[in-house]
Amino acid sequence: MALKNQYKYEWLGLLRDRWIIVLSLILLVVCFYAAHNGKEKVTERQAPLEKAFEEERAADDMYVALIDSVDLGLKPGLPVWQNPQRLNVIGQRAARVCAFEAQPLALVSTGQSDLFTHMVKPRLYGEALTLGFSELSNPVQLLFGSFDLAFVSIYLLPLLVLAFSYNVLSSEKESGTMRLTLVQPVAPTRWLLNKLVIRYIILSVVFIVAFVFSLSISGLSVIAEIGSVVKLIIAVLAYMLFWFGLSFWVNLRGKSSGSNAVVLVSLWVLLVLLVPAIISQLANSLYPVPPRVGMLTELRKAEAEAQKKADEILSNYYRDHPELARTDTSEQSLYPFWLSYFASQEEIRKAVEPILVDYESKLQAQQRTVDKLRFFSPAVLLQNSFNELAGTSSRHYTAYRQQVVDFAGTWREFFVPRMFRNEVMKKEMLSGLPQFAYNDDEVEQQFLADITGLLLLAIGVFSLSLLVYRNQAVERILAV
Amino acid sequence: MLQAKNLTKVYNGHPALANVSFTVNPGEIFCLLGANGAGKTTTINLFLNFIEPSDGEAVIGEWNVAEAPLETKKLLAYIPENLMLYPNLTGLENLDYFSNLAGKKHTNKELEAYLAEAGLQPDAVHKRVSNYSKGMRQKVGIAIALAKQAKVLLLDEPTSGLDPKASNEFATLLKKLSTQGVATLMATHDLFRAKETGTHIGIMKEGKLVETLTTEQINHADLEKLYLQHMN
Repeated sequence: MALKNQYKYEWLGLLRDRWIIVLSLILLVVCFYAAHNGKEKVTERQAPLEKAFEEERAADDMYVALIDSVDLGLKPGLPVWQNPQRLNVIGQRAARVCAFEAQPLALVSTGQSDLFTHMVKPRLYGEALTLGFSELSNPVQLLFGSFDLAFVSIYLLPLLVLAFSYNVLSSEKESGTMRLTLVQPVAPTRWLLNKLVIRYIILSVVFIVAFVFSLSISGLSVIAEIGSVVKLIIAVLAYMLFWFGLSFWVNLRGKSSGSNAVVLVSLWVLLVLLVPAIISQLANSLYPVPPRVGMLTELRKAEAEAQKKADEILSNYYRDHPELARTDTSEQSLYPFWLSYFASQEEIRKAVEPILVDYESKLQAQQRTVDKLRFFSPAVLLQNSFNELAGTSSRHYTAYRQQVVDFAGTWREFFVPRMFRNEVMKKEMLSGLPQFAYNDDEVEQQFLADITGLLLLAIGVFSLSLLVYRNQAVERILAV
Repeated sequence: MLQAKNLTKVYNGHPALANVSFTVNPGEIFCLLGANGAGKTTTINLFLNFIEPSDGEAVIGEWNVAEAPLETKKLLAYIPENLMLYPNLTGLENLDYFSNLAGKKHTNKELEAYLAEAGLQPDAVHKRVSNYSKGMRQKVGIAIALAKQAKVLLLDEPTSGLDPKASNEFATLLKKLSTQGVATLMATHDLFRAKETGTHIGIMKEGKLVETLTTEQINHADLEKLYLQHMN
């Protein structure tokens, strides 16, 4: 009863203060802008992919027509390196687009998407691992990334929470109403908790409305993605709870409003800016990843070695792959150069395998460190959740890269055995070429761990505050 | 109802209050006189559990304040020198809020009656407190005490800064409450008001209660003489 009444008058007081209107408007405008910005990024990401698919379709049609023409003898002067009947020509020129398309919620968090490529075309020659993926040099997105909803939630929302709650107690102490409250038979911590609870509820409602509304405006079907949207909201609410917890603690210290503001802003800088940077630095220095350039140099060396002894390699290759040796030797090979090329490529792959494995394991060790250390900062936890649900985490990009490398193998496997069998490209084969499709299933889900971490941090702050500041002590701190 | 038993408060080796003992029974108004820094506010703060006694105890009803602060706070009402309310709530809303914190639920009609009893003019009841004068705020403070049905009233220089009429109204209210059996402890500088309103007078000096007497024993002039005697 008394509780309901306190909520009623808190609400009335806040409403008459007009602060809450200003705050809601700020949050609304900022969310709209962030969603709009995120949407632009996604459009930028998607546009080249769509163009590439269109080009791929056009090229396929062109090759079908060209194969027809060659079959009918209409192109007598066509050089051999343009002849689409040659498998190696198709394998090189008609390479498939391996696209990493934006997931529906990609607009909420840019994540790693501005560091990595979303489209690769693994060709028959060359190696997938030399393809232009960007380097994983930024395991935690630091400082100000893009102005998206993740940025608003991680960086700005805590500031609003703090602005809304830093002086809940100190202002009453300063205005003098505190003493009148303290002579009533209520526990001061409970009374303060109620004041923060109503602010938490108000801010949560405002955030949910702003978040859902700005997502809908940006063209996302919130109903279709309700599961992920709800998860995001839960994560943000847990994050806000943590900041209210900090505010609870700082308020209980009973210091002046100014002192509270300074302490809380310092904590914000520490937890949102410094700790993530430290985690990133720590991961880099504990598990340094050798530069990708070094790996590529190794690769080139192995390649040069292999070229020198190409003939030897080819005979070794036939020994290893007897099924590929042609039985009918009367016919001349259509691909004399390419056969030894592929053989040497396989040698190169074997030679650089350890380098690659080492590189990957170092990357993974670094990522695992970040995964563990993220529990030290609620900001990193929330960022992780946002990136996971947006499909822009480094785990997604690692999975994508692995899948492209695998696809490059599939692509090669399609052509190489046929070339060894001295086959030619037929137009029906074009529609049967391997296709790449990104698959999310391999990406490790960390949402539950993140949300647990956030809740534990929040509960921890509240419990610690209650433990340190017993009611009796609080009363005396506040009264004088 | 209200008892100080050898109350002592020491700050950094300096005694702010030394072995103060007195009793205020239901219906009595005990006025504490003394210079600034004599220990009047310290005494009241000890009864409010705002500070911890170094020795002795403050007792309200049958509770030791330091041991059962929530129990004693159910019994008492407090009016500081400058009573502050929530400026963006009305007088009635403030009363409703604080009496609810005190665990009482009243209808609006009852609340209005309490405010009227405390002497707040009816047209101010539904106005925001930001427009209230000090006297009006003190009246809301009295209304809170009434609504809370307090048995003990602790007043810290409640009439300082009030105009004579407001001060007189306030004194009348106190007397009315004392007839209802409320025990009142009031710190004041106003010898005249103390003699007029109080039933007992205590004079404090440097943390000690140097004189205790009933107002019937003494007239205005002698009280002033006695007070100055102790101050010099």
